[in-house]
Amino acid sequence: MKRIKAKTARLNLTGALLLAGFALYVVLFFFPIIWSVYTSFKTPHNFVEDPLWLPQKWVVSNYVTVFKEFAFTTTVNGQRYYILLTEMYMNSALYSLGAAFINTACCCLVAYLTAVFDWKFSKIIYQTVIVIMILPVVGTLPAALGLMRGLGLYDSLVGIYISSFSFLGMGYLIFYATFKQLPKSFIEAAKIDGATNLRVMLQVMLPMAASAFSTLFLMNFVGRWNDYQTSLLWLPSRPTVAYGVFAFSFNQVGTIANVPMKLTGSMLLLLPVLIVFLAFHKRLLVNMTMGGLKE
Amino acid sequence: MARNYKEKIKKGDLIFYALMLALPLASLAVFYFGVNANSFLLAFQKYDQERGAFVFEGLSAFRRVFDDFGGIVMRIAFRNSLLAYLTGICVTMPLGVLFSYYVFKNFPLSGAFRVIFYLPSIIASIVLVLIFKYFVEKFLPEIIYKVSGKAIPGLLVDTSVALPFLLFYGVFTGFGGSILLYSGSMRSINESIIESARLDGVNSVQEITRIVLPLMWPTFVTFIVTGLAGFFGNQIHAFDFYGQNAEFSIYTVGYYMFSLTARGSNSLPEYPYLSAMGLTLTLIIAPVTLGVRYLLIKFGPSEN
Repeated sequence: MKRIKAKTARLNLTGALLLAGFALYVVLFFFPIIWSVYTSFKTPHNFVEDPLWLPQKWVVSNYVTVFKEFAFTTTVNGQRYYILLTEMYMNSALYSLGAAFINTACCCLVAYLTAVFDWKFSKIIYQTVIVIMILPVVGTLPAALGLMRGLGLYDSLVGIYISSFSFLGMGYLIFYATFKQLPKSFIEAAKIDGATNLRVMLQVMLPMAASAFSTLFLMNFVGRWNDYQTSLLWLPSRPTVAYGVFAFSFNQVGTIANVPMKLTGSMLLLLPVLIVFLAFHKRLLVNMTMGGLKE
Repeated sequence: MARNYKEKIKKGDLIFYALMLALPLASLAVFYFGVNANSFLLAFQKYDQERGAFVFEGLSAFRRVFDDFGGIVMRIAFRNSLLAYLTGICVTMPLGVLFSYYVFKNFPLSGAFRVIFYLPSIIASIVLVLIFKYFVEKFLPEIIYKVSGKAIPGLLVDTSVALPFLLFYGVFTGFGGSILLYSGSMRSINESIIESARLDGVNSVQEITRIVLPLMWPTFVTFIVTGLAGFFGNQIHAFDFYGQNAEFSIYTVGYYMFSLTARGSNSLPEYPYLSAMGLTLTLIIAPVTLGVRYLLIKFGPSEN
């Protein structure tokens, strides 16, 4: 089906003022980014001499140096380890892909069950999610850390995966609205044809929510890839790239502890997400409402 | 026969339902209810260094919390948390609504602006922080010196401007994400309402204030309430910019609690104190949040 493109409205005075505001925002937002990108191609000496303008000579070697020398020091059982950037990328991928998938699948599964099986217990689960979202509980992080230590899940990827089996949050509500909107006649027809509950869920209903699933999975993945605080708190000996860059930003010693190299490090964290965004921006830019996702 | 079939189906449904929900519910029991119960218990304990375990202590953690609430550090932290919340409500939210209106009306370049506004949500906060940190620390002082001959310290070093800068940074990087949610909410407004108002001679300002805003009220309630729920968790990016080394003048309650927690095993003795503080703050903010939500729904504009 051919998509009808919305007609661009004519600019009135309010629109013109807002456009000027937009333009100012774009300049203020992009100029520091552009400055950082070209600074990452400067030699440290060139940066000290002239921190403002374009490099005297563009050097790609910063990227090679950071890739080779950027290491995170961690201590496990009294022994010191150096974790290189390649391993940090691996940790980021394992954490972000695994936890994002488990979390999205868990939200989808619980939303499916509570939306399709219109029972009292389903309503209790739905209300519980709403109450938990509204009710602020402050300062449970130490207790969560203590619990993870007690269960032997602290500083372990398996622990992160297990704790990702959570359905609390917006993801659940979006899936719930999506499944509520789907006609139940599909389920009834499939059951008359002899399909089991599992087949109905996997082969009939979930494919219809594939669009919502892929969008929420991508958002979840991007959020986790960028998040350094989880690694800092829960996975200190398996640092992700985000945590590595955070630690690197406070590093004062060594040949790569200078501004161009630190900005190079941040570009290396940014690059994979930027590729994901460019490849899937239409999927990511859907309108989110509690009534589901609108393309 | 028909009754047996129905019962069989129901039983099968129930088994499937229970099996599929078992793991998520177990996770909820452990990682939400278990954690909250553990947090409650921790508030009445202390860390025994010799035994390497938590032991019951009574109310000493609460006494320390209430002593600290009267101190200068916590007073600053409370003030800054309030400033951050008010900035979110009074600056970020109106700006978000105005720019969402632009996208909603499909004015020129609105598609491109949607992509641009999404970027701060895509770029890692630590990357944006590094970029803006060095920009305001290296580029700005240098350019100001070149233009005016006046040497100024970096904005993050100068304690008099560090807090306003962090609040500005929060608005600057935060309102883009809200635009997507607001414009999504605006899209659900029936086009015919806007059309008929236009025919009645309503201008853009009246359209925003008298039609769009009242119809978006549930979205505002969500933002105001979730913002309030996160009142004591807001770090205003202080940990991103400063790590453990922020000056007291930019402390928020969220930063104070997080920086104490994020010290690895050195944090263990602080767990009871932090849990007691969390419990006390929950007792303050939970009724406030629920009360505000109730009032906003009861006295807010209706769709009619």
